[in-house]
Amino acid sequence: MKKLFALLAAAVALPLALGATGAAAQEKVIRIPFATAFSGPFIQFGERLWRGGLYATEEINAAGGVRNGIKLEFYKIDTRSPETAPFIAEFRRACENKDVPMILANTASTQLFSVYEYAKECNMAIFAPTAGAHWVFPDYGKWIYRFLPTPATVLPVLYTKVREEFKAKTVALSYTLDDQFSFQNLKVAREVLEKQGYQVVADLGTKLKETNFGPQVAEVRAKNPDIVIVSHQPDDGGKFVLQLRERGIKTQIVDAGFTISGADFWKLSNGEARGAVGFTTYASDDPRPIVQAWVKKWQEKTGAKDAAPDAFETATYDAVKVIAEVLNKAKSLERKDIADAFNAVKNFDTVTGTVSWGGAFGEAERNNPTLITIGDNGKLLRWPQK
Amino acid sequence: MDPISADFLARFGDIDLQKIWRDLYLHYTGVTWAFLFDLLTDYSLYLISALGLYVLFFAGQVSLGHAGIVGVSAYIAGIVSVKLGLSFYVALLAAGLAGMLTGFVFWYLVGLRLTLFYLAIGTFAITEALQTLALNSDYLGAALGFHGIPLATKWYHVFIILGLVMFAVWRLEQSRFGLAMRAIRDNPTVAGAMGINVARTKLLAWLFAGFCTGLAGCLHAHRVTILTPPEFSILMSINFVLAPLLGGLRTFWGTIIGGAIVWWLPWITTTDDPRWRLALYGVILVALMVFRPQGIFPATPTRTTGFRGDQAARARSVAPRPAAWSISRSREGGGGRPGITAPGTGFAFERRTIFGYACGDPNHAAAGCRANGGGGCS
Amino acid sequence: MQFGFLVEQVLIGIATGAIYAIIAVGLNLIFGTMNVLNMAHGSAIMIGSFGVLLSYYVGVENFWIGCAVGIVLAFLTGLLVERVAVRPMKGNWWNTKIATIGMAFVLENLVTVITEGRPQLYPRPFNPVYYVVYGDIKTPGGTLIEISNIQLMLIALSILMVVGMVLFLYRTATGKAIRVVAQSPDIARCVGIDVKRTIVVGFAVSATLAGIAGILNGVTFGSTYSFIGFQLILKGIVVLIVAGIGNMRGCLWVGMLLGVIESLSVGLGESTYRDFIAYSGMVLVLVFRPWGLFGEEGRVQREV
Repeated sequence: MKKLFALLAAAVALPLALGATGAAAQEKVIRIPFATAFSGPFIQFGERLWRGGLYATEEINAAGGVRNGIKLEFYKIDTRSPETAPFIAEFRRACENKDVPMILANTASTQLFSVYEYAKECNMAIFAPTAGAHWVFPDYGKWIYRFLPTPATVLPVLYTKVREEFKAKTVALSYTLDDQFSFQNLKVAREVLEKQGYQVVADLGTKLKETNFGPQVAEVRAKNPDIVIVSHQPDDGGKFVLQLRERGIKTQIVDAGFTISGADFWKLSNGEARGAVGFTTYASDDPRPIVQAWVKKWQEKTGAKDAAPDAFETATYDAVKVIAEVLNKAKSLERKDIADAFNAVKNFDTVTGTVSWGGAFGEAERNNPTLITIGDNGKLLRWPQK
Repeated sequence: MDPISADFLARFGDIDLQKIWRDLYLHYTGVTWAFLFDLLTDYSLYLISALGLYVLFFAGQVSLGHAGIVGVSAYIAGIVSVKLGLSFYVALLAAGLAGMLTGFVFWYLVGLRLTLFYLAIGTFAITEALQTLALNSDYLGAALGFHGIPLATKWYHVFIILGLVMFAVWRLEQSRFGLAMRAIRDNPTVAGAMGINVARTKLLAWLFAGFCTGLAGCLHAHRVTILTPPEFSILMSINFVLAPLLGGLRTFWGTIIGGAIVWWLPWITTTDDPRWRLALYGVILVALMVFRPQGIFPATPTRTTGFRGDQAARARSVAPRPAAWSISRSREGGGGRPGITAPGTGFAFERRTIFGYACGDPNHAAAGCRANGGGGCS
Repeated sequence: MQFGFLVEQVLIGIATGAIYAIIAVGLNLIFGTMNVLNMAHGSAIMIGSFGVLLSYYVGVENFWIGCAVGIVLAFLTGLLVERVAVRPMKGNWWNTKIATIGMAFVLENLVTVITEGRPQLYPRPFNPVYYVVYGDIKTPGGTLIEISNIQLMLIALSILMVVGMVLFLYRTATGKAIRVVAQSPDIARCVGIDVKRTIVVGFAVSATLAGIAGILNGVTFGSTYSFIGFQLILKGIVVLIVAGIGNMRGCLWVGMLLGVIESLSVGLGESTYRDFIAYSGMVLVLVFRPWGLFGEEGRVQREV
């Protein structure tokens, strides 16, 4: 017992003591909290997003940092997704700490909703580049800035094109039941499909991280739809497609959200995902130099010469670039000025297209998101191929 | 085929010590009183549920489905607040009642008939079933969550309710119901023979625990303002279970201290590298079981005389005393806790569970401990 | 057409259930020896399946060598669990259960950190080939009942393993020793059985079975991840409880039954209630017949 207490005391006292020495060596640096799921069921996304952000940070610091020489640095905050309470506590701490200019919250929308009330009192910009759910509140607390194009705007365009290209009328829906992301996209997809006159012949819900899609595949074969719409996390989607193709079913796969644009989709389908169609924020064969530079950098860093980065890493890479831009253009590092700088972003060019804020709500205005198809080695290519 | 993440290898390769200490410094200097207070409030909220579970363990009812009670009462509180538009205090009461109802269901389905192992699995299964129901319900928001709950929980709500619950648990421990619960925990057959209504005492334990946990559920709902089914998972249940397990069952203070260790240790040790948080729970569990399985405040104190070492061998070499059963005050400390104690059996088995007697106690073995199908020796 | 389609789901369910049966048999062995539920069985499953990936990672791209590596690693995991989480508990089933949960946490999260929690594609020794049982492959949407060679192999292997386990327990000296230890360790000591060694053997065999189950699961479904063990062991526990502890043959039947129920629930349109049906079934069994469908009544005493 005594040992335990001694250990605890040491664990608390030691860093404090060492910290006292660390305080002396201070360089000019801006530290921004990077909140995402670093433990728990969603750890795979957290680490990947952190890396995307890291590449961007290195680039920025190598080019001289922000605001004439100040280094940019991110530190980790674990949201312990699907828990909500830890993020609230950390958010409030970040609010309290006047040195923190803004927070980069790479979380699902659930966590964002949970801090909504606190955000109103906090007066600090919250940038959430990977939250894409339907916004349920009447405003964005003035301080929440989102980034992804919402399915509601894109799916109608996608499905109309799908109908043109594939002459599709009947649909099988495969989705993840307990994932907020997938479920939300599915809801939107259902509405759009109904409006466009598609007929849903099979409704297949699975749980997160399911490995056995046998029964679902059998359903698809029996009902024989024209297309199969997937709304899963990328890895579950990949497994599903693998098992579908193994069975000899050649039905066209269409996305309902960000299923096919994650790297795991290609990897876990063992290449069978080629030809799947969906939308995302960028395409790797986009000739714009900024896109090609990012693709090249990613290939160097990861050593994968034939592949291309996926949508999530790209989103975070862009997010950090946006943050750098905002920090550069802000009048000062006061929180209000940073928020104003966000609102003043107009047609800033990123890998994922141009982005602007400043409307009445915190959604980003993007140029049209790209319709994509999966090509060799999982590269995201523009669709339809011209 | 590259399962091993390149990042993992890289981090092992270049560890920048200066950066590590700087980050730790940042985390600790970023700690303000307000932040600690926030964490303290969250911890107290956690304790309310943990104390409810403590009462269940106290009565010998092992529950791995505690998150289910929290979840049901949280959703009910949300419904009362949002869909019915009633005040926070009405929601509080409703959540408490919902917790009691859920406790009743648990009691009826599994608590009444089943012993420890099957009880644990049964409670887990019920909670999973409840989670699936919630996921399929559009009324509850399904996977998108039940949002819009007003931010009504203030810090004083949490502390006052915690104080009340602590007081209630303390009184329960001291009361004759507490006595009855301890008797059931040690040996339900004999307790029944002594005239305790086992079923009713268990029901009381579940209702009490359900009510306390229900209050916690409501407080939680009004603190985070959004509820999703995946958060009420087995992980949450295990978090709750660790508290009384670490703390032992002699007194509720054990749960408070055990809960403090379980709750604060991850914040202190894994904020810089959060990947290890869940592995830390595992290490705590294994270390606890290897070194002090009876918890910090054991229900039956271990004898300080007698030597460590192969107690089992020693016990074998000494013939077990004939059944000099005494239904009387135990000589082994605590005040007047009745129960069957055969004098001198305490020394034979150093390894105690948090429930008191260990399986393998020669008297219990003679009574056909094994035939309980792993249900435990209670 | 509807009927044929359901038959197809049943076939798929039987194959899936075969994996559940193998896992339950492994769990049953430990339960029989130690009267404790080994929650770390899941980590043996996971480590077994990752062994193959590990051998591919270091460059050896032969599936069978990878299999051997996986089985050996699972075997070692069994020994590790026994040494760390079981032996110090001195037979106390409650402590052992908690300690094995702790071990499972540690092992699974360790692998999660190493692999970043990412699901992994699984290598296969041969590609699945579907044999037509009934129906015309050319009519899309018509009745077509197929079964793949992998599924057949699964069913055959699981039956083999159950039979092998029964033979092991009833015909070999070690197996009989395990049964005696399960009955009473003291009596076992009286007749000269080395209880410690028997328990170690029990864990080793069970962990090897787990490793095989993990590899089979990966091969059948083409993927694995660090929490696969946790996911599968929940199903294994359901099978164990419903079948009754100690009954190997029951495991086979109930395992396949569970697989079939899951498949049918998708086939009949209630795919989202798949787990709900399984867990409710288990609760019902617990309420009305806690010794399982195939178990003996005396094993579980009712309290009230």
